[in-house]
Amino acid sequence: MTLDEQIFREHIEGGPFQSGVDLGKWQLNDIAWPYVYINVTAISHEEWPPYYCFQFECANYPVAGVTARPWDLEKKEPLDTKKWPGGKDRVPKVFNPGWNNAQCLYLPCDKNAINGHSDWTTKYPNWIWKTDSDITLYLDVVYGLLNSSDYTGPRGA
Amino acid sequence: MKDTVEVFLQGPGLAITLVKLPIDGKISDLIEQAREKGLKIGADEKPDVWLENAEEPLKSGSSLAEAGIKSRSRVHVHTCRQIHVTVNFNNQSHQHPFIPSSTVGDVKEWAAKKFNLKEVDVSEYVLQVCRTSNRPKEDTQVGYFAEPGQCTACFDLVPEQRVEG
Repeated sequence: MTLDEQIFREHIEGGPFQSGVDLGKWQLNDIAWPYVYINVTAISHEEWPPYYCFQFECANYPVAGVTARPWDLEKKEPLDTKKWPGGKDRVPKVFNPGWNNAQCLYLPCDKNAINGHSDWTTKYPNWIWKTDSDITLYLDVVYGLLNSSDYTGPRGA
Repeated sequence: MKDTVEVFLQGPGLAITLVKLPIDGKISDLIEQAREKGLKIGADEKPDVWLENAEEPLKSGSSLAEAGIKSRSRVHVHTCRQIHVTVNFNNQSHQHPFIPSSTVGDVKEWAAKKFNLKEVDVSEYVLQVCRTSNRPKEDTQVGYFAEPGQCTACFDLVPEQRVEG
């Protein structure tokens, strides 16, 4: 096992990740290093999915950070963009399939999204990935969005 | 049968940490583990231990089982019996005493009522530690922010960030 995978596995056994599991915020689905699949719970609504799965690419974790996109577990491919989370303001800014060919979320803690956004470091210091960050930094932001009043279900719903 | 019990530990200087303790362990073992993991309380001080949202600290001489600590219980180790929390919003401040094992989520819920936020708006605000950019997770217990001997914590209630640019 490579060092990055070893550190990742230690992190998901640790307090921050396991606390989120116990609180029903997220659940590990699978690891096929450097890809990791995690379900993040969304606000309860009878016509909306109870959670979204995300594919995280975690090569050189935690130094390099992570990038993520919504994932279709059954088809084992990126989630149809019509099924991406939709919302009023904050949510569609982050879950924006029209940006970067739907390759990642538009978030300061995403290692691909932050490229070309040097101002984000000062604008969103709490969401910037650092070498001592762990996966829960990213998961907590996504969980917050999917459980906010801004979220209005899948884009195509 | 398992011979250990997993417990979520927090305290001043000790972010949420999952530790394993002997099933027949005592409260003193839990404090010892907290010290090993980075608890910022002097060796000559005797902290108390709280279950999350319990009103009273656990009896120091009791076993984990006698104290009601079960698998994946959430506990806090601190010398302060109460944390005097201040929350600022829209040029107003409110204070309230919380036990150390109350969470940031509990404080936000209290603050939302105190500042008359509409229920639909609550998820659009977060607590930020005063004079910092630190926006702690809601499962962080307030004792984490209170220096032993000072027993205070301060937060600003601020809007969630919108990613732009």
